[in-house]
Amino acid sequence: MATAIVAARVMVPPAQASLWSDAWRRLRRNRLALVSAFYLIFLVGIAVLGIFWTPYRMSAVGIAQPYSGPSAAHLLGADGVGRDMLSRLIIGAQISLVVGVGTQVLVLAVGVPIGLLAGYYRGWFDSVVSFVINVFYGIPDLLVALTLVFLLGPSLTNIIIAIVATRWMDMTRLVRGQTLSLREREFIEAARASGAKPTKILFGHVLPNALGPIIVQATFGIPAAILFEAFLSFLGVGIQPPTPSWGSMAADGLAALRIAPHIVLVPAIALSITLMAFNFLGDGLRDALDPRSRR
Amino acid sequence: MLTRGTLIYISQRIVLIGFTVLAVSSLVFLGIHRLPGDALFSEHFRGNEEQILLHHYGLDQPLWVQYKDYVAGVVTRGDLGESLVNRGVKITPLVLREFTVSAEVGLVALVFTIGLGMVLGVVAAVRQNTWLDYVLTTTSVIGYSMPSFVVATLLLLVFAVWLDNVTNGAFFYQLGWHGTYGSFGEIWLPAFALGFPYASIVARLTRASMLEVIRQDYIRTARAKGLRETVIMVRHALRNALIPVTTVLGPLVIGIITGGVIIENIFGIPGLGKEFAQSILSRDYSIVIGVFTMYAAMVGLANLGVDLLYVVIDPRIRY
Amino acid sequence: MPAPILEVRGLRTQFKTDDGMVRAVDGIDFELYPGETLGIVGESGSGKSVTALSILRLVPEPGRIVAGQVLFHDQDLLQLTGDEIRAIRGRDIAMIFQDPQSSLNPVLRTGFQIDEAMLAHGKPKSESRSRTVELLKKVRIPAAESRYKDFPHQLSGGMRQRAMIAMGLANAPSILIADEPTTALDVTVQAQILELLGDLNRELGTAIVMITHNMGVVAGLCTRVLVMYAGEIVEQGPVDQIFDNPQHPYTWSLLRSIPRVDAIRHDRLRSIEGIAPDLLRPPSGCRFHPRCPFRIEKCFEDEPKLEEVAVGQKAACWVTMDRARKEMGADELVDIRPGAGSGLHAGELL
Repeated sequence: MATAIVAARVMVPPAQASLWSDAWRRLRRNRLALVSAFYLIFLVGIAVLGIFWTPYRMSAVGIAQPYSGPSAAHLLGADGVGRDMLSRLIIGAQISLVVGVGTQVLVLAVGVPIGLLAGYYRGWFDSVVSFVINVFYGIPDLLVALTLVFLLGPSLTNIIIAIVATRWMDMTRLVRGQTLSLREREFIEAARASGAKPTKILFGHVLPNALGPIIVQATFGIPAAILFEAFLSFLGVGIQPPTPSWGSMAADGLAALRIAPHIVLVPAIALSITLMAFNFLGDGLRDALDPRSRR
Repeated sequence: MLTRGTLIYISQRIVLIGFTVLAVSSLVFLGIHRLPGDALFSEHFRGNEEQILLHHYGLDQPLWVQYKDYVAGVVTRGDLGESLVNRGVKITPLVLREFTVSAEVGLVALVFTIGLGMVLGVVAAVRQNTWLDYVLTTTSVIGYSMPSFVVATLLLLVFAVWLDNVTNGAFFYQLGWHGTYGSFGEIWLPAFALGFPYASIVARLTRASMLEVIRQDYIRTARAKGLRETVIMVRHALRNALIPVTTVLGPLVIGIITGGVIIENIFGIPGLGKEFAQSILSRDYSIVIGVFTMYAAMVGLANLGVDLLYVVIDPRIRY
Repeated sequence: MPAPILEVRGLRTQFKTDDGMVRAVDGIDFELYPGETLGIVGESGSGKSVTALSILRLVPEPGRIVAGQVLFHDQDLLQLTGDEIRAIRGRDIAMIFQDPQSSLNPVLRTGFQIDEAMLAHGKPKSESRSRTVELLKKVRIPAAESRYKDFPHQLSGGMRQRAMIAMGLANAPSILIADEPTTALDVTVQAQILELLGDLNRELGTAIVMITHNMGVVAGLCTRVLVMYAGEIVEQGPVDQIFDNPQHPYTWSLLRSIPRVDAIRHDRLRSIEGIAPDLLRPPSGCRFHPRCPFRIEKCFEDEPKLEEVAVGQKAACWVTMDRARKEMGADELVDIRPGAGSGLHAGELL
C-alpha cells in the first residue's frame, strides 16, 4: 500500500504548470487570437456598462427621427420607431453574451458529468448515452430548438434551454472520449491502485487533464449558441420585443432595407465580428493547447 | 458498382428510414398535438361551431384514437391531415409542392457549396503558405462566422438596393416569387447565402485533406509518369482528398435543409422552411407535424445518399 | 566501352530544415551505360534515394538540387523547363518505388494507371489499353485481362509491384530507376521480382538503376555498383570485383554484414557499429572515420577523393583494404568496432 501511494505521488499527471505556460506563450504569438480576445474583453465591458448606463433608454420610442442615419446625438442612427440603435446594440450584446456563455455553462454542467461517467464506467450507461447522442445528431437542430422554444414559450431561459438541447452532444462526446483514453493512462491506474475514490480520480485527475480540449470546445460552442439565438430571434420566436436581440434587430431592419440599410447593417456587422472573434480565439486556443492538431 | 450487396443495403436503409420518419412524426404528434394555444383556440366560436370543427379534425376523440388514425393515414395513404388554419387544405400535397421548391434552391446551394469550397480548398493547398493561402484560410473563418441571414441581407442590400438600377429590381424578393419555381436569376442569391458558410467549411477541410494527399507516394508516382500537374491535382489528388470531405456532407445537407427555414423567409421563397416558420407562428400544428415528417424523410435520404457517394468515390468501400 | 547514356556530374541536393541544411547528396559523379544494371547501395540516409529522385527532379519539398548536372543525351535534365522534364519522365526515364501499396492510387483502376503513363506521352487511348494488357502479361500477372479492371487493393503486394514495373516499362524507356522495389515484399516475392527485372533488362535492353540497402540484391541483379555513404560515393566498380575485393572499409563491412548460409563458423551476425552520421554536421575528414576500424590520423582531417584502386574500381579511402589486410590484420578481425584493427587504438582494446 505504501509503495502504491508513493507511486501515485510520483506519477503525477503530466506537468500541468508548464503545459499551461507553454500554451500561453503559443497563444500570445497568435495575433488574430489576441486581437479577438481584446475585442471580446471590450465587448464584455460594454455589456456590463450597459447594465448601469446606456446613451438612451433602449425602449424609448421617438427620441430620434425614425429611420434617421448616424448622427452626433445618435451615433448609430435610429430604428423604424425612432429608438437609439447604439443603446439597443449594447443591450443586444448583453443578450448575446448571456445566451452564449449561459448555454455553455449548462452544456458543461450536462456534458462533463455524463461524459465522465460514461467514459469511466462504460457498460450499459455508456451505451445508452451514445445511443441518445446519435439520435440527437440525426434530427436537424434548428427544428428541435424552434419547436422547444415554441412549446416552452420564448423567454431568455427557455431559449438557452432549447439551444442546450441541440448542443449538449458535442461536449458530452468529447469528455467521454477523453475519459476513455485517459483512464488507461498510468497515473490514473496508479491513483486507482492507491485506493482513490472514483470522484477523486474523475475530478482530481481525469478532468484536469481533459481541460484543454474542453476549453477549446466551449470556446467554439459560444459563437454557435449566439448564432442560434440570432436565428431564433430573426425568425421571431426568440427574444421578444421590446428587448432587442441582434437577430431581431436585423429582422426589423430587413423591411426597411431600401430606405435605412443601417438598421440591418449595425446588428449584422456586430454579430459577424463577435462570432468571428470567438472563432479566431477558439482556433488560437486549439493551436495553443493542442499543438499536435495543428493544421 | 451496383452490386447485389449494395442493393440489399439500400433497401434495408430505406426500410429503416421509413421507421425513423414514422417515429419522428409520432414523437412530434404526441408532443405537440392539441396543446393549449393552437390555432383553434384563438378563434371565437358561436354556438356549436367549435364542436363541429373538433369533430371535423377528429380532435374530440381520445388521444390514442387520434394517434391511431393519424398513423394509419400516414402509412396507408401518405395522408398528413388537414391545415388547422386554412380549412380544407390537405397537407400532403402542400408539403410535397413546397418540398420541390426547397429542393431546387437547396440543390443549387449544395452544388455551389461543394464546387466553390473544393476549388478554394484546392487552390489554398496547392499554394500552401503563400499570401493567397493566408487570405483564403482567413476568409474561410470569416465565412463560417457570418450567419446566413447576414449574408442574405448583405446580398439583398447590394443587388436589390444599391445596384437596383443595374438589376432592375430582379433581385427584390420581398415583392414576390414568380410561380412555384423561381427563375435561375432568382435562385442564385438565396443559394449563395445558404451555401456560403458551408462553402467555407468545405474549403477548410478540402485544404487540409489535399495537403495530406499531396504528400502521398502515389502522387510522386503520377509525377514520375510525366503527367501534367493539373491532371495530377484533379484526377489523382482531389479524388482522394474528397474521401474525408464526404464525411461532412451529411451534416452539410442537413444544414442546408434547416438553413432554408431562414433563407426562404428572407427571400420570400414559398418552400418548406417558410411554411414551417409560418405555421409555427400561426400555431397550425398539423402543418408543423407534416413539415417535421417531411424533414425527417429528407435527412434520412440525404444521409443514405452520402453513404452511397462513398462507394462511388472510394472503391475500397463496399456494402 | 560505349558512351554513357546518363552522366551525373557534381550533384548536390540539400534539404532546408529548421535546424539547418541537410546535405543529403553532397557532390557525386557517376555514369550509366546503355543496357547495364547499376546498383546504388547504402544504408538509410546515405543519399541513394535522393540521388534517384534528383535525376528526374522529383525531390520533395523542402529539398533543392543546388548544384550539378544530369546529362541525358547531351541535355542537362536539371536545366529543362517543367514541360520538357515531364516529357522525359516515364517516357525515356521511368521510376518505380519502394512500397507498391502506397505508390498506386487507391481510387483508380490498376490498368488505367498504366494506360495513363502512355496517354501522358501522346499514345492514343485505343492503343494503350491493349498495350497495358500485353505489359501485364509481360510482367507475369496471371489473368491479365481481368486484372486490368481491378483496383490496387484487390491485388497482392507482389502483383502491385509487377503492375508498377509494367507502368515503368509502358513507354519502353531506356532507363528504369528502381528505388528499393523489393523492400516491402516477402522474401519469395522479392526473388521473383528481381528475376523479372533481370529478364526484362536482358530482353528489352533497358538500363536499370537499382537503389537498395541490400548487398544481396546487388549480387543477384547488377553488373556494376556504387556504394554511398553520407551523401557521397565511397566506392564504385564491377560487382564481381567489389564483392571479391572491396577496398573501402565501409564496403568491406557492408559485405561482412550479409548473413551467409555457407559460413563455416556460425558467427554472430556482424552489423556495422555506430549510427549513420548527422548530415547537418557531417564529420570532418573522411565521413566514415568515426565508425572505421582502420582509421589513421589523416582520416580525421583530410577528405579522401575517389581514386582508381584497380581496373574499373575506385575507392575514396586513405588506407584501403589492401593495406588494412596487410598491416592491420583485417581478415582476422571479429570485432569491427572503430579502432578494432587500427594500430592507433589497438592498445585500448587489448
